[in-house]
Amino acid sequence: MYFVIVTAIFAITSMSLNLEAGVTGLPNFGKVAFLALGGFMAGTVAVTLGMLVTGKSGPPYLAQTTSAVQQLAKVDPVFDVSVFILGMLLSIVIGGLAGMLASYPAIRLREDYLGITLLAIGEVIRAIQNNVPAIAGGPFGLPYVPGPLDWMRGTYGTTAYYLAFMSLAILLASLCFIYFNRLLNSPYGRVLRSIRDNEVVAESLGKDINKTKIHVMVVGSAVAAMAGAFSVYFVQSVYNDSYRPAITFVIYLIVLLGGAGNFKGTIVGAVIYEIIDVGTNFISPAISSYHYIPANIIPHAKYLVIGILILLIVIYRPEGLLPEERIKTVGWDVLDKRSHS
Amino acid sequence: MPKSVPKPTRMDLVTPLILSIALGNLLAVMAAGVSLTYAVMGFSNFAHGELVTIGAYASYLFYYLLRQPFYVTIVPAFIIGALTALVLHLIMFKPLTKRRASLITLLVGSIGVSFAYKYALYILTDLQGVWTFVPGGRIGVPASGGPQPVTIGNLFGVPISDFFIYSLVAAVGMAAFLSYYLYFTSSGRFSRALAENPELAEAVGIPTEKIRLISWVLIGGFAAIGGALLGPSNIFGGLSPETGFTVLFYVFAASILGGRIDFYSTFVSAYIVGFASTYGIQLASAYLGIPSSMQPVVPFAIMVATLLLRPEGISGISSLSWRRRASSKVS
Amino acid sequence: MTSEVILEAVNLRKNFGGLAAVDGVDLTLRAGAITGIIGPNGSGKTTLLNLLAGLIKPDTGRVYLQGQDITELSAHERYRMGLARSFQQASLFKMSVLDNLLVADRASTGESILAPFRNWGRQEKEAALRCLALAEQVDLQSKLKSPSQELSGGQLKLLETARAMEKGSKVILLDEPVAGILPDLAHRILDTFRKSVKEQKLASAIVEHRLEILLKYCDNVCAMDRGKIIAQGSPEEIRQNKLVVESYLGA
Repeated sequence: MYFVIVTAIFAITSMSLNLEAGVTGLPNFGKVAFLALGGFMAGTVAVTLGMLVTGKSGPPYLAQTTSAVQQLAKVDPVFDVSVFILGMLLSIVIGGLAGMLASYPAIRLREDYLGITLLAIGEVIRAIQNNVPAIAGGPFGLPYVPGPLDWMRGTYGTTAYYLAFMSLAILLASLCFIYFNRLLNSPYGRVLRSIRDNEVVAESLGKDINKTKIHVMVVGSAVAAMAGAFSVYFVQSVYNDSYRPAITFVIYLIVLLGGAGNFKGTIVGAVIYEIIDVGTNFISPAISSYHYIPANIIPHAKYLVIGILILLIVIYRPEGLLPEERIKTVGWDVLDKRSHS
Repeated sequence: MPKSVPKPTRMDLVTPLILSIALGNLLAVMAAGVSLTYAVMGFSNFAHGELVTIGAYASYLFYYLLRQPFYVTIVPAFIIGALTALVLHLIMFKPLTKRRASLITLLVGSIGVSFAYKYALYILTDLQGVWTFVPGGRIGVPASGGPQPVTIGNLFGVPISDFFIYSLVAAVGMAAFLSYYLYFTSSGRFSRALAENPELAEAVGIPTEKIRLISWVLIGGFAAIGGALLGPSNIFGGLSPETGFTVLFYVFAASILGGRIDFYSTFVSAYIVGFASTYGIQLASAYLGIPSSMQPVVPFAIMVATLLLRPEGISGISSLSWRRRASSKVS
Repeated sequence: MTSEVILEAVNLRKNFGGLAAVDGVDLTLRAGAITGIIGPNGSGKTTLLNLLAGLIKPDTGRVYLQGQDITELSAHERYRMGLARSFQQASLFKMSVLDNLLVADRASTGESILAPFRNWGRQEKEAALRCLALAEQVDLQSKLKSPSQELSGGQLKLLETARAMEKGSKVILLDEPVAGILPDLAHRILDTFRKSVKEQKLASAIVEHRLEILLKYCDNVCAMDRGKIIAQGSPEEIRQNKLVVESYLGA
């Protein structure tokens, strides 16, 4: 069940990248920064509210401050759920705002420079947070964040907790998938792909490129922030180091592996990645029992595999596992009824 | 409100300056490779950092095995860097450019390569704990694992190591070599033509593939020299597989600030980035209250500012460049 | 009887790094008339089209569409107002032929990030029927479902021209619409085009090299050289104009 939840989180994030990069052609190398913003916001909201309600003050990254919040979360479903909803909403808002800012370079820069710029901006954001303890605990992070279903643990047991969380994750991921897929198979999907294929021609055919890019970045970033918030409520902690730039490229791998421009493919890609992830964790104890091989090798091997996969995909199968499909709108059916030959 | 700053002693002024120059030297050597990649291949190579790392490790390895002084170990380092770059090109970039892959595809591909190299190196250094063939500790190589810098003199009361001189010689030497290469050798001139207009260069019969191969040798070799200097200089704190990625953004910042294709601007930009990253951040923390732990942000800030405010960077300050600017007369 | 002026350009100038690509050009396109634009390579024909279409902004000069000043408007706004431009190089998107036509449809309501929440089905069906009609005009209706990558060079050019004739186009600018096309097909395309222009009273300009095409299909011709219009008149007049002949021979 942990597997499903993490896969769902990766899937949602990757779908947002797929919309930006796979369909519209905006390479968002700073994707992890939006996850981070969502995560920071969610953690800050939850812990701050918790502290307000319990009347505690003091640095949120210290256990003594948050233990009272923890107690509250264990018993009060209203607190848990409202903090969750508020946190998610605010993350979406901040993600959208950040996306709007990020669309400024997206309009002006060529694709490779856009990628580098977004990566750089992401790193700046992360560095700022790392130095300002007021934001989600700064370099110390937030070791405890109340989650939406904490109240379930005591009364209903851990299995029920995970089942409920999993259902929530699946619900979120499905909603995102339905939205993105419907968006792709609509006149708007045509517009996005035309921008990706040839911006100048798209503009000369009446498409407002700048406005479209802004919209795409806002939605993509808001969704990523939501995923970041959700994952914080799941792991119930926030740490700056979770948002290293390498994560963006794991997301990129998922998009490429599954098939850029195909949202079903993205889900497949997320599942495959999580299998690799969990799989390497499984064999880790088996391997490190051999004295010849140090334990550190497993996470490194995982990233090595990721790098090699990216290479192989880019060289041998750039379209990914599930290639892009044609845009399915009702227009096609009209032809079937009226075609002559 | 600026905090009151104690009157700086001579040493306070000079040490960061020396450091800036040292960093600038290193960045100059490495940024030239990035700009050359961009000129001849047309894309930004994220794997350049790994070429640097490989050069550094190669130099350390040969020092460990042969106990030769630095200026000898630099030769095998150069060779290994050049070979690595060639292999990279042949298995990855050449087939992709042949297929007319988009810039982003090349970029993402180079990121995949950098991941693969980096983590392969991590695994290698992980294993060395048992099978000792790469010098240094489990995670990385402390500066003491390789050639050691030796203080050879004093400048305004600050000790200067021989590596400082080496890096200075390398930077200046590289600049001189590249100037000569680009303007007085046929392959250099062909490279410039290739940078200007790849299709036209092919059409007039320039052996573009050969030029690219030669360029990759230079790119890999210079990166390796930069790496070999990097470790002992201890500017980035010892050496580890992560070093390449850390350095990459400083190098990109220098290349972007230099306008990518203007060789001399890139050279100057390397020193600007070096200065900003060392002296600049100290001044900022003293006078603007910006914590010095924000230092890693400097190259990113430079990149973003350049791309958004003045995309061509500081290029155009001299008339010598890889490419003539569009407005000047066609040569 | 002179017909309505649809597109008018006054004193257009555009410099590129010291070089005057378009140097003080006046142009008038009337309803139901096809104007040919000829000139040697580098005379500024494509730049002129780009200026008219709004892909670049002039340094000086104004452009008017049916009396309205559109100089400050961007290319996509001009398209919505009825100005269509085709490109010299094949510029179709990697989608089906039908999608390529649909994307140029001006009436779509589904082109918004909120599309999944809107009801654009009916518009889409009507647009599909219009595109079917367009495809029938150039005899490509059997290819509507094929991906555009499968089409031959000639078919792509046909499609390009058909796309410019979508509902709502009032001024059509074609950049070498039959370059590299066999004469038979070229004449078919241009016959269809000319018929539509006359029937729907569209204004049009065609950039073209070949004199014989201009003679057959254009009502009047402008000859350009080095950014300026050196001669204007009926095709026959232009053919005999000394300046024009020189600029072609000298090029």
